[in-house]
Order: sequence, then C-alpha cells, then structure tokens
Amino acid sequence: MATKRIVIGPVTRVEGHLRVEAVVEDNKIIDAISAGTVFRGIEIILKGRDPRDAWAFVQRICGVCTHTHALASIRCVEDALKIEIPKNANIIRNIMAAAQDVHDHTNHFYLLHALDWVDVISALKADPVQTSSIAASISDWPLNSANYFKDIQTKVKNFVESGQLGIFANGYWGHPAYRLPPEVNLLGVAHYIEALNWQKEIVKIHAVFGGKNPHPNYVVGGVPVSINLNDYNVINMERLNLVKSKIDEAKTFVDQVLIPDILAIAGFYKNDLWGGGLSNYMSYGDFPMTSINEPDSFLIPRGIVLDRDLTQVHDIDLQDPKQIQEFVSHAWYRQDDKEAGLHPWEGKTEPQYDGPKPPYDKLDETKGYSWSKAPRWQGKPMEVGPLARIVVAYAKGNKEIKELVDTSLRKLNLPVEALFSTLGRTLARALETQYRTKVLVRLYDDLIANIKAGDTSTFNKEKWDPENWPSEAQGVGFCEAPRGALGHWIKIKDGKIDNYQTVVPTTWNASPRDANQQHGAYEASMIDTPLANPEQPLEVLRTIHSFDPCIACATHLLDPQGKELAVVKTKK
Amino acid sequence: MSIYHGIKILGIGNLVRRDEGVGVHLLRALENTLPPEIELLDGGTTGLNLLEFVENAQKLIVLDAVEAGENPGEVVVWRKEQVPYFIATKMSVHQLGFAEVLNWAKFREKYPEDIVVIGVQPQCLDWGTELSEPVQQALPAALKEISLILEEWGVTSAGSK
Repeated sequence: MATKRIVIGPVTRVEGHLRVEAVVEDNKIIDAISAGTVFRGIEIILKGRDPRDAWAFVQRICGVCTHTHALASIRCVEDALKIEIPKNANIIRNIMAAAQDVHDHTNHFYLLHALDWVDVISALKADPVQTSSIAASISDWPLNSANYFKDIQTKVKNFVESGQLGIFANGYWGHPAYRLPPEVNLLGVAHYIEALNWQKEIVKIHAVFGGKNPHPNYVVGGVPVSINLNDYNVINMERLNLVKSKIDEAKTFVDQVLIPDILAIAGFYKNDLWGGGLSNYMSYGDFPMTSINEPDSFLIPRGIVLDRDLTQVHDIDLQDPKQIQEFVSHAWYRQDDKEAGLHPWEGKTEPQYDGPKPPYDKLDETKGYSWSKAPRWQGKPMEVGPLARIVVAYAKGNKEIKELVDTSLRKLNLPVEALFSTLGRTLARALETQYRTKVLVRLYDDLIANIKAGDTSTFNKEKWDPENWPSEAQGVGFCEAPRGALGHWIKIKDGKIDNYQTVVPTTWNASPRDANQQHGAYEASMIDTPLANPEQPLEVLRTIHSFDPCIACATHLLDPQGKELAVVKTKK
Repeated sequence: MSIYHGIKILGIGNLVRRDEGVGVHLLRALENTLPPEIELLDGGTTGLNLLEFVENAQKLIVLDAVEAGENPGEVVVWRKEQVPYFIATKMSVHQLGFAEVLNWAKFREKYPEDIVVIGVQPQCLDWGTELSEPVQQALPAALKEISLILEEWGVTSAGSK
C-alpha cells in the first residue's frame, strides 16, 4: 500500500511558524501532526514590567492581530485590579473589534483563501458576458458589466504573460479539485482584486479611535481618546461621521460581494464536506453590552458544544483551575510532571528542545514535536474561531445567527450538519462577517445616543496609580479574536508583572496531541481528507487555510522514507 | 507644493524579536528630525495594511532587517529594480508580507517612481526588545545612508532639527 508523508513547513518568522505533516494512503490522509516550530517567548519579555504597558508589547506579537492582543491585555489588567470602564469605552472597544473582524475576515477570504477555491488560470478562459450575467443574477453590486470583467481578465492575462506571476504564483492551477466553471472563477478573481481597494477603508475606524493605524493606542481603564462633538481636536461629529461612512461601505461590500460570492462558490463545492475534524466547539464570548463581567450581555455568546450536540451548551469559567489547562507531553517545554495540565495562572514557559536538529525531514509524534502547548478544556480538545462561535450561538438559539445560518443553508440545500466541514468553516466566517456589519451599525447608534445623552466619559482613572493597587492580584482578559478564543492571564506583584501567559486561538487549533493522544483541531480536520493528487495537496491547504492560521507555511511532499518529492510554498 | 511632497519612509519589523525590529528602531530615530511633509510610518509586521501608504508614495525609503548574506550589522542599500517585489529568493524576513504589498502596487500600476530599501543584516532574532550589539552599532551608518538618499532627492536638512 502506498503511504506518503506530506509536510507543510515554515517560511517566515514574522508571526511564528506552523508545520503540518500528513500521512497519505491510497490518496486519503490517515494521520496528521501539527507543530508550532517557533518558541513564543512574549511571556518572558513581560516579566517585571508595568502591567499598564503590557498591551504595547503584546500588540507586536503578530501583525494581523494587533487589536485583539492589546484588548485581551488591558482586560486582564482591569480584571486583576477590578477596574470598570465607562460605557463609551466599552462601545468603542466593541466597534474596533467588530471593524477588525470585518476587515480580517474579508481579507482572509479574498486574499488568502479564495484561490484555494478559485482557479485564476481558468478565469482567463471565461466569457466576460456570461460572468456579467451571473454577477447580475446574484447581487446588486454595481460593478458587473461585461467590460469590467473583460478589463480585469486582460489585466491579469498581461500580468501572467509578462512572467510576473507573482501574486498568482502559488497555485495548483488546473487541479481537479477546482470545481468552478471559468465564468465563476473570473467573478472570484475580479472580487479578489476589488477586495484590495475596499480593505484599506475599514481600518480607518481604528485610526479614529486609536489615534493611528497600524498599532492603535490603548489604555487600561478605558480608551485613550476624548469625546466632544464640537471640538476640532478630539472625537467630534466629523470623525464620527467618517466612522459611519466606513461602516456603511463595509456593510454594502459584505452584503453585495462577499456573501453572494461565498454562496455562489459553495454551490459548486457542496459535495466536498470533508475537513470537519473535532466535534467540540468553544467560544469565550465577546461584545459585552454592559460589562465584560456579565456574559449574559454578550452579543457573541459564550459556551461550549460537545460532540456536535446542538441541544446543549456548557458553560466556561476561565478562572477555574480545572477547566482550561495546557499540556506539554508533546511540546518542547520543561515541566516536573510532563503529563500534568497547568492552568495559565500557574503556567510556565521554560523551553527544553529535544526535537531533531533542523533542517529535518520529519518529526516524531511519539515524542515532543511542537513549540505549541496543548490547551484543553476539562481535558478535551476544542476548535475555536468563526465556526465555533456560530455553532455555539446556533445551539444557544441566538435568533439573528440562526436566521443567517438557516437562510444560507436553505439556499444551498444543505443540512445544518454541513457546517462541520472545511466548506462550513468558510461559510461560517462569511456569515459572521455579515453579522458583525449589522452589529457595527447598532454599536454606532448606541455610541451616538450615549454621547447625546450627555455622557462623554472615556476613561476611569480611579486605579491608574499603582498606589491604589493591592500588593498581589491576578486577572484574566479574553476576547474573541478573528481566529478564535484568545486569553491572557496575568499575575501582578508589587506593581509589576509576575507571570503572564497567553493562550492564543492558533494554540487551540494547531495544538499537538496531549498525554491521552487526542489530536488538536488541525490534525483532526486533515484525517480522512481525500486527495485528488497527493503531489499537489490542494485539499490540505484548503482545510488549513479555512482555520485562518496565524502562521506562514510551505508544503513539502514526502514519500514514506521521508524523501522530498515536491515543495510548494504558501503564504499567509 | 513642497518638493518634499510624496517622499515617504516606512520602517518595518517586529519590535519584540530583537534585530527583527531594526527598521522600526531606525524610523524612531528619524522622528522629529525631518521636514514635516515627509511622512514616516511604523509598519510593524502588518503587511497589506501598508498598501495605501506605499501607493501614495512617489519616492519611498523602506527600512528593514534583511537577509543579505553579509556579516551582522552590515548595511545594504537596494535601489529600484534590485528591490525584490516578487517572491523569488527570500531576502528580507518580512518579504512574504511586504513583497506582496509591492507586488500589488505594481499590479495596480501605483508603484512608487523611486524606491530604496535600506537594510541591516540581523544577528539575533530571539524574543526581546533590544538590538544586538553589531546592529545597534550599525544604526549611525544606516542613518547616514538614509540622509544620502534624502539629499539626492533634494532634502537638505536631513539629520538635523
């Protein structure tokens, strides 16, 4: 029986590496491992620093998630010091988070994931007249003339023919797992390019509320801006109008481009329902309408769904030492009892590498094989991210989410179980984006109403001075980042950071095995995936990209002896 | 319109990965030393978010840590077509993100008319906020290269308040 091993390995060091290996037998994946290949030592940098400064460091962990790390950081300090923030600050943080989600999700689909579904070279053969009539039949988006599509086609053709394949160089063009007709491929390529124009606009919301973008400013106790509707130098009506116009533009783009595209594409892939993987889904919840301490007020519901049982949602307590724990039995960290799980407040970051000397052909999954720890909830592996949030909200009976899900599944003539797949994960992200644009409109109205009622407070300075802090305190800050549940746990001693642990969404999803040999989400999602052509593992990339991994990867294809057959680099 | 209009300087890199952040360290050293029309941006590792800044530049200086095969602390200057705008051999550690930005600017026909990369060969990319000694010592040489380029573009007050 022919067994091969596929490796997806590291390329860049910007956001940390991921390496994935899959064992292939008879064109089907029978086992997989997922490994973080770069040690993440932000915890070590933070020790001994002022807790109020931590956000500025964690913001730099990753260039994609600057907002979410900063937010989780100020929230953990506020939790430790029992600081309540003003209503305006809560709304503004929610607006920034929703804007980040819309930007990140839309960018992810068009710029990082679309070409796993859309074949660029096939699009060059399309009839633009037919693409135009398809576009007009699914959306009111005005850019839909045959000339528009013809121009795009010509431009891409010239770019490709001049040898500057560049942005389009990393594709398995012509692969049998591509299922769209050329005309729909052209539609996808056109909107891939259109998304670039659009994505520059939504982030301007961050510049308004955070003073600048990239790397907006944050503050423990509120938001670092003043509000006065008539003052030129602060948040005034003119800037708020700019925010409103960006929200409206985003909503139009998502309603008229993203959602119709996803549904059109999904219609051709609705029989490819592999890639579901784990059957446990977790959301910490986010977007408090009152306070972060009142989960019942969250617009993104909190909870856990086990075994895909949508009739029951379990509660989570991030402070309970027995619920969230990290395991290092297959990770390169020193720990007295390698089998024990540690709650993040007790977490340690002591590297102890005993893997093969790089560059290596393959990792040994029976030993330590990752810099990523294995986080578990009550010992169970969890998927986090858009699909998890949608599943939890659906199981909780959230009306708006349920309607979005049911409407789109009805259009595709698919049952709700179809969500548990690579396609479902991608659909869930799009539906969540649509929900966020609705939420943005509501949050903006809330903010204006609150300001007009006379409340311009944005900062609670009561406990800013360390004189007013207890000598020891501990807190947890969380948010739902675009990629999933993000938690920061802090211990403060004598005004300084004594311990700081982050458990990031990709740590949950890219987790290695634990002491009980349970797979993490990436590993589980690859198993049983059929490969049309193992030399070009398009299906693996599609599944891994459907999680929106915060990493960069390269694909290597190995035969059973570990000899490299092909190398394909992918980028994130 | 000022002759400085359209000149932009972009520092990229990861500030918590020691020498990775040298581009941002250089950018910070330039703050408040140049005519205000010259726009500076700390791009971090934010990738495509930088597209608009790049497309709005007529003349662009990019400051970055680069894998140039030189000794740590060596300063390299890449001009125009030497700048790797497509993903071929990886030279800068941010190239996958930033090369894509340049690539899109080219595709969209909004590529700066002049572009210069001033890079420093890193020694240490571990977690940490301080530069390694050879890279720290290279900062004056890199700042000198920046002022030479700016002089060439007609900026005379470079390096002084």
